[in-house]
Parts: sequence; structure tokens; C-alpha cells
Amino acid sequence: MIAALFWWIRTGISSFFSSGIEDSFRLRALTLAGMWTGAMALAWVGGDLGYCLAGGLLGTAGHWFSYQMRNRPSRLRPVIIAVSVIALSIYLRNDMVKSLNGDWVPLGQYLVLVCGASAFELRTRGGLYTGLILSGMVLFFASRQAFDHSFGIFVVGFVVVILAFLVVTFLEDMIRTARTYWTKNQAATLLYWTGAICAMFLLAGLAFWILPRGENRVAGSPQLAVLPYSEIDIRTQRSLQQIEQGPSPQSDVAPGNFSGETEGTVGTNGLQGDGSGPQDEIGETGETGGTGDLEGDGSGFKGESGIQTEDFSDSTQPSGPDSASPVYSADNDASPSPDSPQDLASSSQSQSELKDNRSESGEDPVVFHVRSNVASYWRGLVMEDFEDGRWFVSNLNNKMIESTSVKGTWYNLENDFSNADINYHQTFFLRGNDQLPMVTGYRSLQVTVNEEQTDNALLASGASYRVISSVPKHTPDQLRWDKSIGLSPELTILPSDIEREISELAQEIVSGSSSDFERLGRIISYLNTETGLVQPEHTGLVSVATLDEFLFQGTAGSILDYATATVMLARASDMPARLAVGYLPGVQDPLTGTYRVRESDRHAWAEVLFDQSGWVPFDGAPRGQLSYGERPAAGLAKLFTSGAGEGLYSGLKEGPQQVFRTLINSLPGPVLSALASAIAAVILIGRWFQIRSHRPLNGPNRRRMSYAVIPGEGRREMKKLHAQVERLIRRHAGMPRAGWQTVGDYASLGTNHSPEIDNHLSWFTQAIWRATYRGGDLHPETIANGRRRLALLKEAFKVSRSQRAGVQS
Amino acid sequence: MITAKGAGVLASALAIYLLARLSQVGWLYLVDSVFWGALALGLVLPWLGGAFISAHRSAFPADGAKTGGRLSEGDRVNINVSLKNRFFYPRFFHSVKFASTLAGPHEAERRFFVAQLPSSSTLLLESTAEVYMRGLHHLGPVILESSAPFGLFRRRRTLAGPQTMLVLPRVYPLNRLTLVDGQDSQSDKTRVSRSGLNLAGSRPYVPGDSPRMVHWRNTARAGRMMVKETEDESDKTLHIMFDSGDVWGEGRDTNFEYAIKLAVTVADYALKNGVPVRVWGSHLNGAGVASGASAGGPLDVALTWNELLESLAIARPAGRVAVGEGLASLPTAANLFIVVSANDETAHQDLRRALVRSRESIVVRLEGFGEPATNRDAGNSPEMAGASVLTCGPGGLARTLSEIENMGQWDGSGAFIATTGKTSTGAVIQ
Repeated sequence: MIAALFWWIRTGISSFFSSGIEDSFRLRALTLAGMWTGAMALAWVGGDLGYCLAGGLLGTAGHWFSYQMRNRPSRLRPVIIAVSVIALSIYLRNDMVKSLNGDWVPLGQYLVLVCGASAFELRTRGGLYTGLILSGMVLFFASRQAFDHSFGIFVVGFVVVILAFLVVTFLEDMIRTARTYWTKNQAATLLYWTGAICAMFLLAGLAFWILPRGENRVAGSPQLAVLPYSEIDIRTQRSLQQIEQGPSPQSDVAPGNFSGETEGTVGTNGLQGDGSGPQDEIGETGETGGTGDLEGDGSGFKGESGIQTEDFSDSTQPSGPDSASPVYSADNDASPSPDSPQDLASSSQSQSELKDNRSESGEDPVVFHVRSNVASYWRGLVMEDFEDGRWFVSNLNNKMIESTSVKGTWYNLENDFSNADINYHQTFFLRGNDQLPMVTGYRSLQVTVNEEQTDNALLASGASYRVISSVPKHTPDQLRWDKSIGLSPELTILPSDIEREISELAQEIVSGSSSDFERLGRIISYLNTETGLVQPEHTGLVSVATLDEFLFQGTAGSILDYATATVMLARASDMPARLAVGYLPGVQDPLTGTYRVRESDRHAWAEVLFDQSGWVPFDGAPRGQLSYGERPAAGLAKLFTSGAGEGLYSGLKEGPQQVFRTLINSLPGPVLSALASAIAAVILIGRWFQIRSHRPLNGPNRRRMSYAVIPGEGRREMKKLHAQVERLIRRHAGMPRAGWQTVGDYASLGTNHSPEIDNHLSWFTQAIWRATYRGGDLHPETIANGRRRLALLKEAFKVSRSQRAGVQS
Repeated sequence: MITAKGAGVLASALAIYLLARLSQVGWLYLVDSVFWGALALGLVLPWLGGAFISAHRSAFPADGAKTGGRLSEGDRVNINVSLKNRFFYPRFFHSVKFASTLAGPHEAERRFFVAQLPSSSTLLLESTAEVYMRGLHHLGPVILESSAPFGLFRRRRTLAGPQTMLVLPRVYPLNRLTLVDGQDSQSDKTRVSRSGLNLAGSRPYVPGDSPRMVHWRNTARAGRMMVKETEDESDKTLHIMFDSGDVWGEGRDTNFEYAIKLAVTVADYALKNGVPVRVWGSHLNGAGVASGASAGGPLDVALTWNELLESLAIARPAGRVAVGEGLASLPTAANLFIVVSANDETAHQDLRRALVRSRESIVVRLEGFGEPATNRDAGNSPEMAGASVLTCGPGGLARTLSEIENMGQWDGSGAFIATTGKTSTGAVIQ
């Protein structure tokens, strides 16, 4: 078995690396088509067109050259190609480093050029396969940044090339060195190929349906969604559950439950928040951009959200540690202060700007794409100082430091790697029209940006950066016994004008609660039930009511008002809290695998500092009215809305019955219809062929059994004689003939150095061999001779035995 | 069974799936599904396509009427396979193949590609081969191979079992042979009764010798069984002996093959002219041929001409063994045709002695087949015995036969009546 496997592997490897010259022009053309597909796909997703065209043209010339020179091996050509590739590697080294930050296009460009260069020495079948593999890798790199469904053109093109390559190689291999009986019935062949392709895509659909497309790549747990705690019904003491990706935004919301809560996804990690440890007591701003210059810059929101912030786009120097920048205003009446750089624009003005933006674009523009295994509220800035109805960014607690060895890499000191059990990666691809500050998922550990972007506080459209985060560890149970702590006075400041009212309201809401977590739950429940929400698409991230109006006069508020109220009520309950602004998780596009975050996904929420768990996010807004997570897919993405893979995968653990039940239950109607149609088609086509056939399916001539017979009396007679000879030998040698022994081997046991016996046995060996293998019957004289010899042989054996007995005596 | 290409596609499908899991790029899932679909179809279709197909193979000489159905070296043979689709579906893209050594070592496999096998029909796959050399050739089982449409998986079915074909050594035409034609003129005067035989000496016992002919005195002296040897003037048997020891050369151009061709050609001529033939294939070790203990002995059976041909067809060399013992066993005053290798120095002395005792003899020395150089001195040369010695090298068979034809000028007048029958020892060809 092992030897067979070894032989099989060796054959496969030798066939792949066969030095046989590949003469098929068709295969070369298909390989070239695959390379062009990859190169153009790369250019389509933003690769340098010059590089892609150069690679394609180089490959075309290389294929032509290597085809012409296929029978002229050269030692110089591989050396030249190797030197070229090395030189190219050195020349493009900086571009390729970008792939480490999630931008794979430069690496794809490099591969296109390598593929083109290597085509000059492409002479064997293995070379063609290698070329296709390289093209596939280029396509894979391109697919990581293909955020548009039109990319499917290249995917389909490449699949067609691969299938054609498989078919052509099959036919080439079959025809080569064989006498070919080709068909003249082209219609039947066409029917065959049509059926085969249809069957293949049917099976591909089936495979797609049963493949677990698994939703979580974080080890040991299902898909996570790092969402703030919201609508906590602590009175029911219901266990908090992990929210799985893709909850229905509207229907899943129920009073007393978590929005987006999905059954069957209970995990120990719980809802995620910023799990800063005790060392985070001072606060956290690092994830908003890491440096002071990023923190102080809110220009990414200027002119988009309607919340005017100070424009720091020209400033690349970190702000001083004690500086504070007002960014958001909870006062809709606030107007920019001419004597202060931190003046805020009025919310009404911002609102109009936002509406203008939307009307110009016609649709909600995408701000960024995130490739992440974990859905999250994407955190931007955090604000702790609230004065005169305005929020101010504070970089007092900057915890991000830049690596001294690797430029462009930043570490978050609040969340160090040593405490991280499970890490996950996020790659952000900025697509907005303006420059943006950096956002990250929760509990970020490390941020890496491209080198040329490190000198600018803002990231331009098209930029990408990579974030390594860890899964926060706190759970609802843990939070119930954990306590919030307040070490910074800024985190407990209330608006002076309504400080007493807020404190009284907070006391009323949280009275009787046994833990801070329960208090927060009651605050959020209160806000969800006693206040009204102005739909965010009408407001953007602005305040539409003062805190007094929102909490005490029944005026409906915006998302920002909810977040502000949550923070203030928490502070009034002696819990340090701050405001976090960022984005909702957005829509996950199953084809690109990224979360598409739009302008309308801007959001604000509260964060409360716990002793053991650090900053924990709480969302006081009615989340059910907000959009986040997956939305109904369109086009090809609809394919991803169904599938039994995960169910089958989990069913496998329970047994075959569960697998079968899952299959039946999850089989969608269209698939059933397609299967039934396919079976019916097969039967009908079979019937058609049967009618065309002149032979009945049933009948006496349908199948005949044939038996091998040995003709010739002489042959049978000789076999009988030889059987007697073998009996004599067995008596003489004392052992029967073993399975491995030939007739001649066995005869040698009976020789006993007697020439006469040797002579007879040799003759019988020859005779039985002829009787067995030679065509035609044996001559009658040979049979007579055999009988005579058998008698002589018996006599000789008898003499031999008597002589042996005499010697022994 | 999965092919190398299928393994590659399978590995690619797994790799793409892992990449899709890691990157969550949906395009990869779609591409991966197509790969799995191709693999599934490639697994199912060959399994379905190979069912309900049967085959029958027939192999026969292309010119069977002339050869009498026998197949000899150099003949052309037709090998046909009739492929039958017993199903009402047409079949597509099958490969039929079988191994064959008939056409030489370079054409070990015969392959046919059938693009379409219509429903319930039979297709005849024809092929012709020129038989490379004598021997027992094996036609391997007829194997149907299905790997359509992508060649990712392969199903093999054996449609017909293996088959053996015996190819006889080639008999060259010979117009004249002094060893045969010379006896023709002396036939009447040498026809005397066996009772008037003179004792010529003794020789070692060979299987088949009569116990009455044992020379007890010499047996005691020699320490082995010796028999009396008489000079029989009436015995016209042509003794043909060839050395089947070491083999030099390659393929069909070996000294052993040349020896068999020469032997069978001479035997054919002698038999056609009514002269009994006795073949002494020294150390013949072919399947079914006497071997080992009977070193030097003749084929100790009375064989028909066809049986002799078959024996020589399957004869195989026995390795390096002394030919001298066989030479010593040759009868006295006999007509000898001996084929030996040029480098067999140990045989030269025995050969000279045998030639001295012979009546007439022709010796063909085979050389130039790559054998090591000999250190032969003049004393060991067979020419010393007055025998006619010819030399034959690779490609020189026709020339040697021509030289054999032109040797001596025997008076061929008078009719020679062919003798048939058996001798007491050895094989007499009827």
C-alpha cells in the first residue's frame, strides 16, 4: 500500500516535472489567456495598468519565443530569467512590503511580471501548469481588493480557461501516441459536452451548497460580532448571548432582549467591548488613530456628517498631552466660535451639508471596506470632555506608540499582546472621497500603515492599513460582579445646568440595582422606552435636542443624543463614562468578503470603564432602528444566502440522522426542482437513445455469458498424465506443490540425480507447458509417448526408492 | 483511481477552499465550487462510462494462408479488438490499450482512442505489427480506460484476458548444403545392416541410450557411465549443435538468435531432403526444454518438425556452461553442423576432437556480437581438424548462408531417399 502510494506520488511528480517538450499550441494559448485574465483583473481592482500591460505583453512574447525555441534547450535563458526576477524583486521590494499591510496588489503586479518573464523558458507541461498557478495567485490577490461585483467577469473568464485547459489536456493526452477513432457525429459530441458542462455546474452548485462557508475564523468560537451592550433587560436576568453576524435589524429587536440576538450562538466571550485592563484607568484614545495628530483631527467627519470639527489636516504634529479639542456638539444651537479654533458648526448647518452630499452622489457613498473575521463597531474618536453641550476630543491618554524598528507600525499599550488569547486581523481599505482618520475594531493591539502614509495624519482614499486586534474577554457574568471605577475627574463631569436633574433621574432609574452592569442596563432600557429617536438618515451624527430637552421634555433625539444621555446618566450613577464615535459594522458583501461601511453607518455610543474589564461599550440608541451587519444580498451574492454547509458540519458531530435531516430541511425548492429536472432529462434522453437503438433492452441476446473452455482431447489427456506425475513427485519429495512453485520448480524436487527420472520429468514439464499454452491440440503420438514415459517414470521412482532403502540399510 | 492531474486539481480545490475560509472572499468559494464540481463529475463519468462495454481480441498472421496459420519471426500479424457497447447510450472518449512485445521492445503498448462508441454497436480497432523476434510473446489484457471529460479520475476495466502467441524462428531459404547433398550420392553403399557395426569407441551416457550399449570397462575407468559407440555407415543423420551459453548482443541481433536461425535453416533443408536431423542444443534451458542434468544432451524426444520449431522458439540461453561435454557426446563418424561462439575457448579442444571423429562437418563461428576478445592460439583452432569453418557476425546471416550454400562441390547426382524413424538415443526429426 505504501509502496503503491509512493509510486503514485512519484509518478505524479515526475509527470509534473517531466522534461517532455509540450508541443500543443492550444495549451499555450490557454495559459496565456489565463495570464492576461489575471493581469487585467489586477488592473481592474486598482493595480498599475503599466505593470499589468507590461506583464501581459512580456508573457505573450515569452510564450511565442519559448514555443519557437521549445526544442532548443539553453542554460543561459534560465540564468537570465532568474537574474531578471531577482532584479525585479529588489526593484519592487518596497511595493511588495505593502502586502504585509493588506494591500496585495503590488505583490500581484510583481507576480504578473515574474509570470511574463518565466514564459521565455516555458517548454514543458509542468511549466504550463506553473503559469496557470501563478495566474491564479494573481487573480486571488486581485480578488482581495475586488469590491465590485463586476470583478466576476474575470473570475468567470479564468474558470473558463481552467476548464478548457483541463479538457484540452485530457484530449491531447488521449490522442497522443494512440490510434484515434474520431467521431463524425458532431451533434452527439456536442450533446455530450453540453450535458457534461451542465452536470458539472449542477455538481458545482451542490458543492457550493454543502460546503461549510464558515463564518468564523477565530479559533474556538463561532462568528463574533463586537457590538456594544444594548437594551439589557437585567430584570429578567437573562443571560447575555453572543450576537452572531447577520441579525435582522428590525425583527430581532425586542424589549428586554439584545438587538440582533441569535439563538444557538452562546459563547463565553460574550458581547465585545473594549477590554482594557486596569491599566486603562486613565482612558483610551489610541484606537482612534494612535497618535496625537490623528486624535486631534476630526476633519474626516467635516463636511460629511454635518458635525463640524476643527480641521487638523494640515497639522501632522501630535497635540500636547494636555490639550483638548472640541469635536462634537450636543447642542444643536451651538455655533462656531470665532475666537476659538475649536468652534463648532451648528448642527443645522451640518445637517444641510450632509443632505447635500447625499443628494449629489445619488446614493450613500462607501467610506471604507473592512476585511475582518469579526464584525465590530468600528471605533473612531472617543471623547471625554463635555462642556456647554459640546464634546471635546482629549488625547490626554494616548497609549499608542510607534515602533522604533518598523516604521508605520503602532502598538497600543492599553491592550498588550501578552494578554491576548485570540487575535484577529482587520484590513481597512479606504474608499471615501476625502481623507479620513483611522478607525479600528475593538481591542486593537497593533496598527500598520504603509510607509508613505505614516507622515500624514489622515489617510487618503485608496489607502489600506492592517489592524491586529484581540477578542475581548469580558462576559455579562463577569461584568455583573465587576465594578466601574472612576479615576479621572473628566469622566464623571455632568452638565452644570442640569446636574441635579440628571442625578435625580439616574437615582430613580438605577435604584435597587445590585451591580453597575445592571444599572447600565436599566439606563439603556429607560432610554429605549421613555425617549424618542429621530431617524438617523434625517439627522446624521448630530444632536437635535439639548440634553434637557431630550431627557426631561420629551423631545426626540438623535443617535448622538442617546449616546450623550447614556454617558451622562452613567456618570450620574458614579460610573466613569465617555463617548465613542465611529461606524456601525456595515453590510457584509459575501462575494468580496468585506464589510462595506457607508456614510449612513456613522454612529455614537457610550463606553464605561470597569475595573477588570476596562472600557466596555454600551449603546443606548434603539439599535433595532439602526442598520448594521448583513443586509439582503443582491445578484450573485444571493447565492450566499442559502447553504447547508454549516448545518451539515454541525450535524456531523451529532450523527448521520442529523445530517440527513439537515439536508432535507435545508434543500431549497429551486435545488429540488433542478435535481428533479436533471433526473427527468436523463431519463428522457436515455429513452430517446433506447428508441434509436435497434436492439431491445430485454431479450435473449441482451447479455450472454461466455465461458472459457480448453479444446482438444490431447491437452486434457496430457493434463491428466501430468497430474499423475505430480502425485509421484509428491510421494517422492514428501511435500505438495506450493502455490509459488511452477511446474518446473516442482519437478526439480523429484530429480534425485537420476538421469532417467530427470529425463522423464523434463519431458513432462515441456509437454504440460505445451498443453497449457500452445494453441491447438497435442499430437496423438505425444500422448502415447507420455503414457509410456509415465510407466517408465513410475518404474524409475520405484528403483530409486529401493536403491535409497538399500543405502540406508 | 485519481490521476496526477486530478490530484493537482484536488489540491488546488483544497487550497482555494482554505484561502476562502481565511479571507472570506466569496469569489473564491464560487471558483472552488467549480473545482469540486469538476472533480465530482470527473469521478462519476468514468465510472459510468466504462460499464456495459465488452471487447474481444483476435490476433492472426496477416498472410495466414501462406504461413499455414503459424507465426514466424518477421511476419506481419493483425491484432484486432472488437469493442462492443451493450448499452443504449453512446459512449464517449475511451481509451483501449494492451501491452504487446510482438513488435519489439520499443512498442510495448498499443493504444486506441475512441471518441464515440455508438449505442448498441461494435467498433473494430485494427492494428498490425511486424513480429520482432521469435519466442513466446504475451499480449497483455485488453484494458478499457475511461477518464473523460477532464482526465481527473481514471477507471480501468479489463475487457479481455492476457493472451500468448508463439513466434517461431525464421527459416531462411537454403538451396544447397554439402552435408546433405553429399550423402545423397553415397546412399546406396552406406546402407548396411546394424548388425555389422564396428566398435568405434565409447562416449558418455546420455538419456535414452540402451543399457545394452553400456561399456562397462570404460565406465569403470572413467568413473561415469559410458556407452559403446559404433560406426554406423548407414546413419545419415545430420547432427546440428549450437552453443546456447553466453549471449552477446542485443535484441534479436545476438549470437544465440543467430545460432537458432542457422540451426533451424539447416534443419529445414535437411528434412526437406529426407535427411534425419538431430538437434543438440547444448544447455537448452527454455521452458519445457531439457535442462540442468541433461547438459550436452539432445532433445530427448521424437519431435515433429513443428514441435522442433516450437522448442527452438521458446529456447532460452542457459548462461555460462561448458559446451565441451555436449561436443564429447556427439557420435562418431557423423555429419555435424556446429554453431559456436568465437570466444568459447574451452570448447575449442572438444570441438577439435569432435571434428576429428566426424565424417563431414561445418562449423560456424559467431563473433562480433560484443563478446570479449579471445586469446585463441593456433592449436585450438577448429581449422586444424580440417573442418569447414565459417564466420558470422551481426547482419551477416545472409552472407553466411550464402557461403554455406557454396561450400564444397559434392556430386549431387542420384536420388536420395529420405529416411524417417527414430534412433535409440536423441531425437530424430521426422
